[in-house]
Amino acid sequence: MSAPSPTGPGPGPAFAQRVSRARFARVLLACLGLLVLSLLLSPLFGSANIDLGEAFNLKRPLADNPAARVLLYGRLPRVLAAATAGAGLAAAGVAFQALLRNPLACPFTLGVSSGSSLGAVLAIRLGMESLSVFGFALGELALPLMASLFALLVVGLVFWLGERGATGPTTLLLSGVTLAVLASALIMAVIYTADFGQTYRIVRWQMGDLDVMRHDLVLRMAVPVVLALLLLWPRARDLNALSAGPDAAAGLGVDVRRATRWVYLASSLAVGAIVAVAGPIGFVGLLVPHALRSLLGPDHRLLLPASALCGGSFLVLCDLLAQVVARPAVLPVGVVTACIGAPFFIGLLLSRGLRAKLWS
Amino acid sequence: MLRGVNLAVHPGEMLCVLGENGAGKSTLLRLCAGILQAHSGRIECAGMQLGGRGGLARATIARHIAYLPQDSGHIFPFTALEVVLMGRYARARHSFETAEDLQAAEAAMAQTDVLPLRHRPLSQLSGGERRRVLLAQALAQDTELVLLDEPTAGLDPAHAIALGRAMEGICGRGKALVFTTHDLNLAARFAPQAALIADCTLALTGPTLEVLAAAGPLLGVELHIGRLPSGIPFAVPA
Repeated sequence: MSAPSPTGPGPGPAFAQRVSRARFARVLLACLGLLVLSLLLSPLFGSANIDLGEAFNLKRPLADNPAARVLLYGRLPRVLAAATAGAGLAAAGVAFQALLRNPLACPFTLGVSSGSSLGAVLAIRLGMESLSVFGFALGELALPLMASLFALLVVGLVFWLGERGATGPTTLLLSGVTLAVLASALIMAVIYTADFGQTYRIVRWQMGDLDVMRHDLVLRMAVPVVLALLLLWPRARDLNALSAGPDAAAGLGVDVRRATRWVYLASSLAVGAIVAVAGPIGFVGLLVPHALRSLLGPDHRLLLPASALCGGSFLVLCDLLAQVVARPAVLPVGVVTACIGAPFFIGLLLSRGLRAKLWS
Repeated sequence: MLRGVNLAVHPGEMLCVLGENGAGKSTLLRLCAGILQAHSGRIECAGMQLGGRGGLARATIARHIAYLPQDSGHIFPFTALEVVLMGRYARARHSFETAEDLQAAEAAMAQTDVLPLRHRPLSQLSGGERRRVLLAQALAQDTELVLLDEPTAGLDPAHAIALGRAMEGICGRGKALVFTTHDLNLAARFAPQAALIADCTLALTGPTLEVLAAAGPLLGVELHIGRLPSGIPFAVPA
């Protein structure tokens, strides 16, 4: 603990604690414990009541045990999908905030989620699932591929705007809003030209929820997200330096171009894969990193993995709320994250004290 | 836009780069740090070929040359010690700093007189304290050459002098230091050698007082140069 400063409020205990190996292990273990706990507890609740004693009755064959089937095929993939999506969105939020030096940046506010949705909608409209490229049938990969490609395009556009000086929080937010409006207008244009079957699929997909999850869909999201996290993590020290600006980072020895490229690529990959499977889910990438930054301090070596783990637990719990709050109806999880995230976001914009704690 | 600039600064020496706004002082420093690439020709600094194809890796350069841009500011509330430890980026072999890194960082902070501030967030420090923390970061980088872009811009006289003293301390440890400034008094007081950039090239170089004596027309002002009774040199527009 340090002595309180003569000017302004004294630094909290988090500020006095440097990221050491021991603290790193301690904090991540706690975050992991939280995630495991939410993964274990969450499937026990849901929109319908099931007999848990019956579900875990191993003597009864699975084919003959409806409670166990609900748990295994209904709730488990749903929970795993929520954990994966939450982890990817929170980590992408941390990465965007550091790279763009903008505390309000996240996949949602930058318009990356909207752009990605446009890609997915186009894939459905153009029937890309039946296309084959170089003799390789795209099939169900068409949607995630298009979503990731469009996520990358929007990130490229944001980067280009930033290079031209549009880096202030408000400027970026405005460009994000503009891109989101443009994307939804284009999505509407696409829907207008689509036939009935396509329209139904598009609308259903756009609701952005974790319902009707299948284990193979979870895997399709988890592989790119885990890959993205593995690519992002070694860049955490670079992100620390980059949050002081590219020139300062370069002066310290960071290969700025390479680091920037990898971080953008990994974040877009994660967001694209998540949007393609789970639809657009907002605010996770903003709320989780800020909450953790105020608890753990800004060091990305700790913040990035902690955000990924806590982002996972956060979305699992939000999805649980979505299932139980209006029983027996199930809300799209995006509704819950928005209901929690929007007041937080507005509070962030209004509260000078909170802002001062999180960024300068 | 810059051409044919050849400057020499030896270990333990301090050199200031003067020039009008837009003369290319910052560009020169960024070229020397290997951050900007030359349109044509070669850039050599501290015996290293910088930039272009086959240029050295950034981390390699950063082990020999430390560079602090003018507008370096973290948006997140890193503590002063965390910021100084970032100076060990190019030297750290692991993702976590070792006891050796911590020792180097604290020694650097003691040198620039900011050790008592080590647990305070950088954003809560005054402008002068912040610059000295960043100077400690450059010092913790443990390089032969330190490049500072406008280190005293926006500082009050007391903080500017404190920073100048810290810079002298760095040279006293055998490092070469180059900084750009518009503060002619600071240049006269602390830098024994000066270079003046004008018309995209090196116009004057030599002992600072001699450069200042001839600098008036190139800076667009008439300069009055003298010494205070205490012997401290000064330069003011007449």
